[in-house]
Amino acid sequence: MNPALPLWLVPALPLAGFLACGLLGKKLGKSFVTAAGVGSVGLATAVAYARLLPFFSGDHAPVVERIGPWITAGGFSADLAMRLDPLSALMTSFVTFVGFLIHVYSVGYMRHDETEAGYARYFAYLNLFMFSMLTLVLAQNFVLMFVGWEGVGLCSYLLIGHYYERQYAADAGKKAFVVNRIGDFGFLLGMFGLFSLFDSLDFDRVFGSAAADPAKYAPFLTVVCLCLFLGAVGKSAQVPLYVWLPDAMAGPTPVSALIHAATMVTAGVYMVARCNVLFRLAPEAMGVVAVIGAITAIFAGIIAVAQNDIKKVLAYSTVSQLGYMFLACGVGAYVAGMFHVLTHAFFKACLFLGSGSVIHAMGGEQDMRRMGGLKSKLPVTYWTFLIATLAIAGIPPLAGFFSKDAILAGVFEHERYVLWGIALFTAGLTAFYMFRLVSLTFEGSFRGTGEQEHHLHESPPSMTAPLVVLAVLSFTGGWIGLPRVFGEGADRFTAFLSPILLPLASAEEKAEHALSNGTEWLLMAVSVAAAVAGLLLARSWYVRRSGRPAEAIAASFPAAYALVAEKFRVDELYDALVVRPFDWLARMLWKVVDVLIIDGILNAGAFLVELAGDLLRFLQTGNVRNYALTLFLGLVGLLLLVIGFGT
Amino acid sequence: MGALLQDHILTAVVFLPTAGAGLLLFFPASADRAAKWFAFAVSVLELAISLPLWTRFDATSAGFQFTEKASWIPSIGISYALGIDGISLLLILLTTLLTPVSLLFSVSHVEKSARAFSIAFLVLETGMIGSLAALDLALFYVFWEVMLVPMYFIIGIWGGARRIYAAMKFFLFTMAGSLLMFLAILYLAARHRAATGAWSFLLADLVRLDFPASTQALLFFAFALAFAIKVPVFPLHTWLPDAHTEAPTAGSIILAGVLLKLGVYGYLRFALPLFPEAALRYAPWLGILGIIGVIYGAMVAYAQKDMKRLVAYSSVSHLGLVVVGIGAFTATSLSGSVLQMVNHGLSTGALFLLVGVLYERRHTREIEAYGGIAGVVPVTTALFLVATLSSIGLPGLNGFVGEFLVLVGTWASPHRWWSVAAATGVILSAVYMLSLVQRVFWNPLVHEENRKLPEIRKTEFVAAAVLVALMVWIGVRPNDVLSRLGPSIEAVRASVAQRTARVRAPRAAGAGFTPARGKEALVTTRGGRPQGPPPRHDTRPRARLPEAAP
Amino acid sequence: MTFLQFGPEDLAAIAPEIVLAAMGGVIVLLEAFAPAARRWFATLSLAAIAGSLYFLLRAPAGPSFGGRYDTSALALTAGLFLGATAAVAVLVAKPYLERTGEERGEFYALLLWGHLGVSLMTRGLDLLVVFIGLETLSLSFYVLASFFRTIEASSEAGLKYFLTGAFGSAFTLYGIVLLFGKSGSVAIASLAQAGIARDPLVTLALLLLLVGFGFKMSLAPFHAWAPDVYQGMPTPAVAYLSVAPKGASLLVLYRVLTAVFQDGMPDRFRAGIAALAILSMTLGNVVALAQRDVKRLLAYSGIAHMGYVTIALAVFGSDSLAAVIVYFFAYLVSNAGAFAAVAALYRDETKPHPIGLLAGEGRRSPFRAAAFALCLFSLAGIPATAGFIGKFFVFKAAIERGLYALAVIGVVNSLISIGYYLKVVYVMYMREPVEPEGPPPLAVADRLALSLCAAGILVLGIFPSPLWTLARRAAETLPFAFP
Repeated sequence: MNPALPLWLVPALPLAGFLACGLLGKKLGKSFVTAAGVGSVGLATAVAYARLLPFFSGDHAPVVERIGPWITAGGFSADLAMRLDPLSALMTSFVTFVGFLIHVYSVGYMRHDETEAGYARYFAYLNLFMFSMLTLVLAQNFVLMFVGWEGVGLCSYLLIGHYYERQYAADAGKKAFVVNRIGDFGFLLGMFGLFSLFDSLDFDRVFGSAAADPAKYAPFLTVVCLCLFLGAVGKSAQVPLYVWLPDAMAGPTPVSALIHAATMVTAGVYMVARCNVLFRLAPEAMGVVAVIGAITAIFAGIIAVAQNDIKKVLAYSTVSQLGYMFLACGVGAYVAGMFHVLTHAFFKACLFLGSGSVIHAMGGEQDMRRMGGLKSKLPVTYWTFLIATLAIAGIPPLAGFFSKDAILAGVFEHERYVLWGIALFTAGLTAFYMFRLVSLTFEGSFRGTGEQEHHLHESPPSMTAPLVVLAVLSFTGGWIGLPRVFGEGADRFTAFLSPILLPLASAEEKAEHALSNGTEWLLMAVSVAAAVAGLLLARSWYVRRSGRPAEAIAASFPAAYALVAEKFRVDELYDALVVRPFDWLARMLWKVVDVLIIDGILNAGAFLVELAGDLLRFLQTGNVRNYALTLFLGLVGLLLLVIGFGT
Repeated sequence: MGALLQDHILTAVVFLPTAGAGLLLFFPASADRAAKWFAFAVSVLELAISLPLWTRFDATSAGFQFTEKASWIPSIGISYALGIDGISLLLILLTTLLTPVSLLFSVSHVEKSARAFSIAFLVLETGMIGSLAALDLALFYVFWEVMLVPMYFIIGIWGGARRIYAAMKFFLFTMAGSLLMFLAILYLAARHRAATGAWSFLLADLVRLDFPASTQALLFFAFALAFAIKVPVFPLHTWLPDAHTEAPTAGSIILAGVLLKLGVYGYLRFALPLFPEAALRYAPWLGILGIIGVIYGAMVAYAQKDMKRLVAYSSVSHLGLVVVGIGAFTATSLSGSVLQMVNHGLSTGALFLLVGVLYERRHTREIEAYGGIAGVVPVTTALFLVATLSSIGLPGLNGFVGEFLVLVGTWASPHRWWSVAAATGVILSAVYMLSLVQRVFWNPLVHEENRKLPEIRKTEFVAAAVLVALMVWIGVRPNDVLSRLGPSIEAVRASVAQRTARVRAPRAAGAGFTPARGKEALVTTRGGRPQGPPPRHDTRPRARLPEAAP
Repeated sequence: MTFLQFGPEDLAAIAPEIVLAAMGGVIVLLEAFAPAARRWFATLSLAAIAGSLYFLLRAPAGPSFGGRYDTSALALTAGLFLGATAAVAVLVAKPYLERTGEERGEFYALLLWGHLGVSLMTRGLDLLVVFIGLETLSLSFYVLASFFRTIEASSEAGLKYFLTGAFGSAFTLYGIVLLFGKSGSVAIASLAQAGIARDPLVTLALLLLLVGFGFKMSLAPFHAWAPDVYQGMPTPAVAYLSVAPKGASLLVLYRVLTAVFQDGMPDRFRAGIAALAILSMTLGNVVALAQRDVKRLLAYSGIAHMGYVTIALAVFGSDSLAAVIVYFFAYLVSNAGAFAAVAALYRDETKPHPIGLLAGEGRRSPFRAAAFALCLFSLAGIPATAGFIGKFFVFKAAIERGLYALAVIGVVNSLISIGYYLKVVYVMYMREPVEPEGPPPLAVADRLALSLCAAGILVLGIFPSPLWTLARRAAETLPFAFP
């Protein structure tokens, strides 16, 4: 029984928008595209909230809406079915909303410097992305989820390559897709494994049976979970597959905000959280998740420190924050991880849009070394940006503080002290590079060209409005999940989301030994201290002493600095280890195996037959005596054969 | 008339094109344009009369449908026996679809003696459909070989620079394969006579024969070689890149779209049921060759500088996956393989078509000659992109469904590692196809002459759009196709199962059937999924099927 | 001496040959005294061929001349085959001779007399009759070979054919003599004596016959004359010589061997024949690959084909004789058709026939090229053509008899043969013309001959059943005492 507003409407509307923009957009012009593109998503958001609000207020019981069978062959079958439960509700709530805001923002950002065709294409792809992302989060089985999973990858590919005539954009797009495919390879294998175990890829069936009889499945789940996690590593840009995300900044900035900060890149976290039952049955896998997350967090954080491209900094910060989320999942603090997904969506989207506004004002300039002092020129951008920065830095009472604190607490709670240390350090690091960014961009004096300065202007309302909204959310977003120390029930978020953590029949998991309030307070203090330390250090270096200390350090450790500035040369490494050998091997297989060996053998055979013909032709002497002789010899030969045969 | 067509619909579908070709003989050689449109009209009519096969096909029955039987050379038991099951149904419709598409494209592009071209093409269609519908091995062989001649001319007369070499290579390769099969067929018939006293070439009769393992192996190889060359299976594939590259666009579409599939089809229809044990014994080799094909084809494709060659090698890779699915021999993987054949026909057909569109405008297939033309020819670009995505198996389009079913089905077989190896194709296909898209349509526009590249024509657009539409349709509603496939697939597996069971009872359970497959047999229809412990794909199947060890 | 006395039924039996002989004479006389009648010669010849067929069909059943002269279904079938071949040859000859300005009555007369000789071979149940037929054939074609007196190649061909032919006939005659000495009679039937098969002299005799008739069949290694002779001989004559005598010779061999090998062919002998078959197929095909001249190419293709069909002789048995008959009908339409096409496609007969000259004919003279291509595909044995049916039955016989090696070598050879048949096809269709002036205008007779052959190829290829039944009935007339 589907209610008046079936769930499938939510992804379907953007799909309609995609078709409208894609097929008619070029003809009907920009205003139509704006209407269709933004309208469809707005509508989808409305529909989504029409379904979500009652759900939030209701008993949070999962709703499954089956549309019909999709693939049925042999023993395999997968349905088209949508699922509304706390997890998907959470994702939908911000995907639709943030997505809508970014659509609005895009109007202002793209309208002028785009041709009719380009504008239509942009919104078509953006809509297609919304469709895919919503399919991903609302899917009721792995296959349908995979449709969204690859769909968002495709859109990311297309939107990164939006400026397709720029070689690096095209390259970045392809890189993103291929690297994601490596992850999807894992995801596929994971699905095969699940199917062979559970005979179904339906969430309820898989998780249900797994939770019902852990002992039976546990032995197989480690591998499966690692495969699935490989998918997450690709999609959510974790070490070692993070390399595509920084390059992805070649796309338009709103795209970076929507896809490469707020929504798509968190799909991996969502998937891991969705599969928490399986992961909880595979402790080794969870260990891997946690470690990878921690490594990514600190690794990307370090790189971010030495970047000068404003978007690159944000990109690496995103990678780092995603690492944070995986760390949370890895230690079992799934709720905290999802909490960070939510808050991160707000402040990182805000940051990217803010940077977009800056770049917009700077006429496409992205190098922070040519900025500075924009505070006065772009007040709205500045303040919203600042709030978001404080949020990501983890300054209370902003959103980032609570989610980050929840993660730290979670890690500490599970006695993973090393990881906790890394996370804490990363927190400080984050505060540092974010304020470095703010200082270089908005503080001090303008370092760009005269005519850039001449053109400086605050962005249009269509761009600033989303900024403001997101800033507000970055400020308040965390209050739905206050730590327990603020009293029981203060953490409505956990209360809301905990149902997704199905109880396992055999209580192998060690009971949640809650931290004492004292420790809780202490942890908060420490994390805030780390954040503030990073903040102050950055300000003192880059505002008071306008970056000289940094230069001094860079000068004293040139090699180390270069290494960091060049992102540890990981791309170069991959190029040497994977890309070039692949090219070489491909050429060899073609030129040697195909042309030389296989065809060589065949041609040789043909040649030999021809040769034989040419030689035998000379038996034809034209001399009658020889002809007569052949008759005689033939007879003799026959005689010998017939007489000799058998004897 | 109507009733006649009801009873002999297959005959009509098989021979209508030749009839059209016959009429074309009376066209004045000068009336090229008329000839082209006439041929197109015939092929459309053909498509129209082939649609009832789809609508009136009974998806619940596993047997052959629309069967016809008449004796042809009675004294030696050769009969004109036609009939189709789900597998042939799909491939026949693919043929009747791709032929008008190719002819529509050719309308604006074949200039040199177009009448002969049209005749060759229509005869070719008869050959293809005939071999897909024949249930008598002699009849099948006739159609199978007859296909070669028109294709030889199509490549050799209307092809590219090295067309003669390519045509020759194509003809000799295929002939080399099928001649031994010819002898094997004769041997089967002779054996049937020795056993029953009566001559027969009917598949239904010959499957009853049993052979000692060694004989069966020889016969199996005779058949398998013919089909493996057609597919083509590595290392017998080198005719393909030449043929596909040199053939005119329409020829490439049909070559890739249909001809290659006939290899797999022949294997499913004849080699498997006739020599089940040998087939099962050598299935591992098949799977391994398939995997090599997937990876090798993909890598070599990546190394190509010629658009058509790249697409041609991509076919090697795709067909490799199909072969893997056949080798794995689970209901799911088989369904996936057959579906994937259709998918490949659509996507690669579209790719060749669009490459042809570009070629006709710039008269070069060099990838380097293009670049950055997405803005110049947006529609072509969009269509090419969709075809590419279908070809690399993007979910939501047809390619994914087939690919996924093959892989998940293979995973359930005793050779799960095939699935892992073959799944790398998912990555590789993205690598070579996307770099093709990038180098042709994206990147800076360096060649000025490309600035005024004309956009795709109406006829070309219609031809391509039809294919794209089908990609979406199968991607969204694969069950329309799969449902017609299921019973036939089960029938193939069942025949193999019970024959191997009959030959060596103790192994029956294990002869190519893991517990998973056994269970699959129970749940071919949606719904009633058996409860109970899930299958453990540990070493048990291996033990059950010793000859499966590669 | 039984055959001195003969009555009206014997006359009726031999009437077909009489008609041929007489018409030959008439034409020579007309040539001498009424040259104006020349343009009717072809018609007359056709009439004679038709007439002889008519009489053949109406010949009384049962052996005549005391069983020395065959009127059985086998003879009828053979007559049909020979008549058809002769008819094609005559059809092609008319425009051909007109083009070359050599339309002289001798040609038709000699053709008819040669035809007469061949039919004697097929009908004689007496080795002497057979030999007389053989010689009649040879003498006529020695002359035909050097028909173009002015052209050196032609007279050379005549001389070569004569010398080697005489040598070949000697083998035949010696074989006959040995058999006569053994059985005390020249009647083939009298060879059917117990134990005769094991006699070494008989074996020698049979081998001698094998050489003699193998020579006529241009079976390797007795083939060497064929390419040279074909090249010099007027193409229409080749069309006949390359088909009819070969069939007749194989038929004679079959007759003799059937009589001698009452209880099946001994393996040693079969080995000998198989060796000839393999050698002929392989050598013919391989050397054909190297040919640049169409007529030589077809000569070698013919050598190869004799190899294929000899497989059926090695199989030995009623069905395989039927296969031989089917094969020769298929070979008739394909090979005679091919030579007809050659005759129609080349302008200057006095020069050799390089393949290259055919370049572009596919578009310049579509009908002739298409017919030629069809003949070539048929010779290559592509399904739906007569050639395939021929091979089909031969290989089927071999498989049935368990001669797998022969069958495999056979198909491998057909693969090789595709190499040169397709070469001609692609020169015609995939090369641009080299010669500014195309082939001569297409004469009605040529069109007729080619259409007949093409139709034959397709009809026999698609509906072989009637022919097979006919062949079976014909083959049953030989007394095969074994399965």
